[in-house]
Amino acid sequence: MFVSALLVLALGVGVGVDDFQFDSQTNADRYSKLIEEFRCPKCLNTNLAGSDAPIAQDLRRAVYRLINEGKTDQEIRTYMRERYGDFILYNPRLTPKTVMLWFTPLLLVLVGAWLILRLKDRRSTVTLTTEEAERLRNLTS
Amino acid sequence: MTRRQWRILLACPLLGFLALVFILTIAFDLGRHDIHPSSLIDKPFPDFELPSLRTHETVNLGSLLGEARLINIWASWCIACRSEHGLLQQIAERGDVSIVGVNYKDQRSDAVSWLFELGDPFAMNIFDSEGDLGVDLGVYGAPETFLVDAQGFIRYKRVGPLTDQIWQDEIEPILRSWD
Repeated sequence: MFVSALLVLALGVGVGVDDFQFDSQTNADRYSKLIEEFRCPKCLNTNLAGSDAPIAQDLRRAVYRLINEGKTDQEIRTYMRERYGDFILYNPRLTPKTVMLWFTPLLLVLVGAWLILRLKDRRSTVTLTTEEAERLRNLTS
Repeated sequence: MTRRQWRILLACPLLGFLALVFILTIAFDLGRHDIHPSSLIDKPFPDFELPSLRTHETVNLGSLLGEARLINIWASWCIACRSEHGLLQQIAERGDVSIVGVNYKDQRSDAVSWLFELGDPFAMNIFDSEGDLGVDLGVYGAPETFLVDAQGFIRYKRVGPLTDQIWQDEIEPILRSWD
């Protein structure tokens, strides 16, 4: 049972694995990392590693070729972006267009922290009106 | 904390969620038209070395230079390519611009019989069976069309089939401005 589950898992992971030979383990690792990183241009939400679309196969071959030509990871990212646009990058660059994307979460955390601190402050200085004080006395007596 | 404050605090996640839905709905709609921006505009057409479809002779970037070219990425398996084929024929007959085909990820025999059957508007056809030139051009499907000037710079790119409207409104004005 366990073995067959492993087998299924292994086959599942096998999607998009081409038979490429690398001259070093480093390059093989870089290849795996890069094809995880690029989005398949024709698919809505799949990376190059996970897609069997012909275009994804072509782009994996391009990544393989560029690695063997001695290009750095950054050069390969630039190559892809120049041709397929920011769409292909799952990890968006910091540009005027993506400032909100990068900093909104931080802003929200800060606003939340400020709100909590403010409410906490208030709690210690709650003042009761005379009616409220009366009600409280009645309730607790 | 008063009940009012509690209410405000409890409403925050809901309000945040609604704001997010609102922003994403708008952003998605804005971004829809720009999902594949034409990154290669005003860049030189990539260098390549590929066989021609019919003669098997090697062609390269040099074969394209010297006059304006309408570069059309097509394939016999591409249904949408049929819909723009009539327009390409008209452009070729009028002699508006020289059309160069890039036969993309196709079988040579299928491509040749497709041209035999539907007519051949192409001054030359580059046979890109592996899609390597396609990757260099940022092509993600056929048909796509590039307008390249005589110096080899990409000046216009269209993803999807050409129509009379697109030809008149977008491509012809660029060609006229070069005359």
